[in-house]
Amino acid sequence: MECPVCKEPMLVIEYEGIELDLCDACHGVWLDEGELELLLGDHEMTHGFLTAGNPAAAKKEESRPCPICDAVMGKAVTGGKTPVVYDYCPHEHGLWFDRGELLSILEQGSSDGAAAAVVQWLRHVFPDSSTPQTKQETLNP
Amino acid sequence: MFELIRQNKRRSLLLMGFMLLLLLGVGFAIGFAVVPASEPLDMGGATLYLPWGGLLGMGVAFLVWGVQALAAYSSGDRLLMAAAGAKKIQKQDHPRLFNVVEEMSIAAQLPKPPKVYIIEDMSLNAFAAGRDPNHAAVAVTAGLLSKLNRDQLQGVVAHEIAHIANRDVLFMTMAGIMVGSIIMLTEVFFRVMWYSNIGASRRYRSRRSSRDGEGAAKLILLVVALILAIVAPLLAQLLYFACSRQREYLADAGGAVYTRYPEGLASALETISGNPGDKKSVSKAMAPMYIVNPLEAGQRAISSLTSTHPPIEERVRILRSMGGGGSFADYAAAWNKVDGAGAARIPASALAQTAPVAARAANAQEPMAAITAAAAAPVGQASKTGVPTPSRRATPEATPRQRQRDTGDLLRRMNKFRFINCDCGIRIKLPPEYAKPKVKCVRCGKIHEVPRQP
Repeated sequence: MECPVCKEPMLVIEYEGIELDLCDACHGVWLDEGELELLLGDHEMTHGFLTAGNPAAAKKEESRPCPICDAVMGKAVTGGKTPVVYDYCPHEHGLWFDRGELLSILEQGSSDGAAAAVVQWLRHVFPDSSTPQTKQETLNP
Repeated sequence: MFELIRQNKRRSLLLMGFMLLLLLGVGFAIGFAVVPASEPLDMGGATLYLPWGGLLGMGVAFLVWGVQALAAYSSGDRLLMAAAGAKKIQKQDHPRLFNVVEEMSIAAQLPKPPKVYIIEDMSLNAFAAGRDPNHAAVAVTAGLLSKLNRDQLQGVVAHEIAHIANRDVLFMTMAGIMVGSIIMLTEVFFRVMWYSNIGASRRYRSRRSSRDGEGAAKLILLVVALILAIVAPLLAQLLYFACSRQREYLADAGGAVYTRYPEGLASALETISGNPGDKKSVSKAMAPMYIVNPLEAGQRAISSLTSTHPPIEERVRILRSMGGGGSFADYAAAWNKVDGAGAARIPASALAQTAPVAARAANAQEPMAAITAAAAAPVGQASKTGVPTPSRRATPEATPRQRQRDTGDLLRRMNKFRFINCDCGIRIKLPPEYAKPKVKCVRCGKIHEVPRQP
């Protein structure tokens, strides 16, 4: 599978039974269909949150092909303080997150234990990742 | 069991003979309609007219079928597996699936376990192919491996192995080719009829040129040819569907008997029908071979006369009505209970012949509950025959997530991925296109050498 942004072959990372595809070059993350559900487990990350943002925010990002079927992926915008624009395959192959976007989504979209564990998990996997929110947190201790 | 197989064989041969007659009849009719001329043949005073056009048609029809049948037979399972896009795997690629296949082949008393193929498709389905139990193969989709638990997988594999044990696979292939040939021939015939002017070419020749009686006979034969050409494909298909459905029930019975756990197959069928998926590139000819017809999945209200598989709801209901029993007789009883017409469709002789099997199996497994027997029966027999089959209790049931990982890894191994296990617990899977010599662990930053391409 090729990274939809930089066309490099993507690595597959598995940690504690969860799997994601990672671009070595741009640190974008691909989640196969159903993988986000696995990642969240029983946690209620509402569909509402994932699409709550203003779609206008997605306009400036350029479109990308689905790494599986090459169809142009759609854009969705999350709710929350810092809305995240992510890509979804129209044929439901999966979701694409640019660097740090996935962590940002999970941190904003959840407050309960299950998702916190997921955030922990992602921090484990990407200790160097920095999202806008984590930056803020480090600025205002 | 062998009685059942023998009876199956007899019935198959009968049906095959009937279909062959149909095929030859169509060939004759077409040949005669296209070339109605006949040679007068003097046979000891009486003059016979030899319809060489019809005979030629018969020869062509037989050839059309024979060539295809020979190709399918000589290639055994490989042709069909290649047509379905299945890839052969080894034991270390998916030990769980191999275990189940080995267990079930022992339970079905196959001479050796069939080869195992994987179809790289996330839909849920499975099929068996092969010439005889010595040249057989079972194919399952990747989706099936990741979505079904062990009991369900066992049920599906047992169903497929039952197809092999019942000698269904060769028959279905041959009969399918025959139906295809009949359809092909009649289509050619109608096209020829359309463009030629049979019966209308009086412009340049006198109608009276042939003797009167012969002309009337020819007209009658032509009409018969036309009717046969219209009816034959339908008849062939109905025959094919009828015996294909019959075989599905028998394979379901086998699935229940070999596992001693009808619920496994029942819930697997439910899961499969709930997840029709989108198996692309399934040809109409191959569709009857899958455990659930991939082309009929999704449609509910199909005429039961023209479907290759019995309705899933009914198959599930029969399996669930077996009332804890695990024999062919139990299945037959459940079938009768669920579907009153069932008795008519399993001949009394078949029922009588299944009884000894049930008795023998029951002798071996009498003291055990149905569920433990499902696990223990094949294992016990395996240790006797010296095939190392680890006990089911020793290997805990894989979680859905684990199953999905195992399946994904299997597909990746098939596609030449390389795997690196980092000490920090991260597992890195590198695609064959990854050309760099080293890779850095995302979590702990350790630099790993990339193994060479396998």
